[in-house]
This record gives sequence, C-alpha cells and structure tokens, in this order.
Amino acid sequence: MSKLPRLFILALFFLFCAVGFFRKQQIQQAVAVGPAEGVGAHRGVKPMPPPAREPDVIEAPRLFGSLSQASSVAPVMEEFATWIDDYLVSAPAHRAALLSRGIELAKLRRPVMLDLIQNDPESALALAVNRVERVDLPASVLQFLEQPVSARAELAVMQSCLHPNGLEPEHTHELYRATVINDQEYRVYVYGARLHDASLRETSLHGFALDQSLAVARRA
Amino acid sequence: MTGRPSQSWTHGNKSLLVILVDFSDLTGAPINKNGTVEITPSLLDSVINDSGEVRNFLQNSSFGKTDLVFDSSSDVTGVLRMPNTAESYAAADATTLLHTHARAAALSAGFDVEDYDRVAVVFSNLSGLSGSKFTFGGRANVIGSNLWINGYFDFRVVGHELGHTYGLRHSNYWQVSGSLQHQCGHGYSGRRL
Repeated sequence: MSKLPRLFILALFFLFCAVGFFRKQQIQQAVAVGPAEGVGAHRGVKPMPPPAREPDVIEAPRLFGSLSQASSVAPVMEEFATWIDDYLVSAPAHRAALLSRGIELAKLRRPVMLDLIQNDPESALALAVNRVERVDLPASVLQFLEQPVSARAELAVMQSCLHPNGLEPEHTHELYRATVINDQEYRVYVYGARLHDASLRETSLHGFALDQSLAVARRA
Repeated sequence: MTGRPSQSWTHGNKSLLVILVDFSDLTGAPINKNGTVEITPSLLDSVINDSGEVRNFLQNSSFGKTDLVFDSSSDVTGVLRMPNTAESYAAADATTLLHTHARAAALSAGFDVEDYDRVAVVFSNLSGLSGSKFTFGGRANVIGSNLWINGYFDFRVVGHELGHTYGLRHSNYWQVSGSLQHQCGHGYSGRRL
C-alpha cells in the first residue's frame, strides 16, 4: 500500500474520534441544563425548576418615600413616582400640560395606598410621597394623596366584645389600634416592635394617613 | 400580640372612675339594657361592690392579688354632655375620640382623671342608631386604662372589659393563616365559630 492512502485512512480515523468526542460532550451538557422549553415534555421529562433565590434581607429601616425599598410596587405607584419626577424637573410653563395626568394617577393610586396602609404599613411608608416632594406638588394633586402625620398622642390597643343582643362588632377577636390627633380618630396600623406595644397614654407617632387610616413608623 | 403587662399593672389595688355621658341627640342619664332603668351611682355600686359581683370576681379570680377600689359617692361623675352627637361617634366608630372627650369633660368637672388606674365611659346603648358601628357590648384597652360600656352595665360586661385592661385577651381563638383563611376554634363566648 502506498503512503498516501495510509495517511488518508489515518486522517479519517481521527476525524471519527473527534466527532464522537464532541457529540458526547454535547449530550452531557444537555443533561446538566435540562431540556429546552417544549423539548422533552412529550417524553415525560420534567424541566428542572430554576434554583431558588435567597430572599433579599433588608437590614436597614425603610425610609419614608424610598420607593425602591418597598417589597412590591403596583404599576400605578411606579407610574405616579415617575410622573412626580417628570413634573418636578419640568419648567413651570410645561407643568400645566402634565397636570391632568397627575390628577388621574393620584386618583388611581389612592385605593392602592389605602390598602397598603391597612395591610402593609411598612411598604405604605416606603411608597408615600415625602415632605420634600410635596412642597412643589400642586394642591389639585395633593388632595388625593396621603397626608404626613407627626404627633404625640395616645396609642390605644383595643379589643371589642360581643353585644349582649347578639351583634358582633368588627375586630371581635383581633386587636386593633386607634389614636386621636387634632380631634380626629384614626385606625392605626403598625409593624415591627410596635406590634408588641401595650396601650400608651402618650407616644410619638410619625407616619402617613389616608382618610381615617394611619400607617405609623416603627419606634426608633 | 402585645407584650406582657408589668406586675405593678396587674397587682394591687386598682381605682376605677366611671364617667357617665350623654349627647345632644340622646339626652339624660344612660339607660341600662334598653329598658327604663337609669345607670345611677347606686346601680354602679351594686354591680361592682355587692357580694358576688365584679369586685369579688376580680379578688377571687386573682387569688387576692388585685382588688378594685370604687366609691360610688366620689368615683362617678354626673352625666356629662359630649361635644359631638351620639350618631356621629357611632357612625365613625370613634370610641377613642369619645373617651378623649369624656376624660376632658371629667377633668373640667373637677375629677383628677389621670390619678385613676381604670376609667370607664358609660353611655346608653348606641347600637340601634342609624349607621352605628357601636355594635359592641363593651370595648377596652388591652393593657391600658380605658373601657367603654355601651348601655350594658352588668357583671358579665364590666368584669369582662376590666379583664382586658389587665392584659387578658379572648381565649381559645385561632385564626389560620395562609390559603385556608378560616376562623377556627371556640370564641370567648363559648360558641363554635
């Protein structure tokens, strides 16, 4: 046999070995990653779930108006925050054109904020429009927003009891909290250490109120 | 969940002030149990101080660790007029505001309100008013000095509300969290919920 065919056969042999090696590598990678979407489903192969992500732990106390620190943000809250940014950087002459959208968003945001105050006061405080931003906002928008509250007042921890006539009031079993500030009664919603407070004849209350619902920041 | 009260809060003699109130739209002495009997100092005295009534109950159930001090000749106000109408307090469920107004009125009438350990505001039953949210028999601070009696000044309501002020909550109640969201167990009234 001449030299040339022998070299040709040797080259073919190495080519087959190389193809076989790379093919094996591809299969091993596919098994590690799991089948692509739609692939393998008909074979009863369940896609691997993505690895669980450790929840972020927020050590520092949340700040009033720090949108990014809220646990979850409804789209209308983000839209309104963006509107505030746009409004505040706009020249006074251009602000009038933004006003109607701001009022519309403030109205849409109102029930979302009320729900947050009552059910997630910590996030409500993080999403509240802070005092600095409020200074430059028009009254026509402010009237729909939560109001800042700072006072020394009673914090009453309350329990209601069945009426002998068989009526059942709200909060028959769970505790609720109330305060009076400037002759106005508020239902108070707390989190953190304040959940363990007994009734206090006078304490510092800082937070934001919408209607008669008041989210109060935790004690310093 | 609130923390535990201090020993000084739960032990020893506890003075009680009763503030009787009326309203421009519901005048006169509070009426007891929707009947015709007025809540007077003498009725208060019998409900609290008679043998087997509220004072004895607290003494016995605490094994003598606490006692209620109430003198119907000095620890009851006259009927004090509240600045708002009964309907407005009841519709807004403004019990804390009502207590604040009652305390202020008692102070103006010469009572050292802050010197009392427990302060009860007593009024006629407001549950039947239009839009009333005063559908409770009694209401009380948990570990606090305030209680409200909505027209039922009797052993069970007064004794029960005073218990809350000491820090006791409704017993045998369990609310399942998460997806079930059912209220389970026995209420403090003894009926299954």
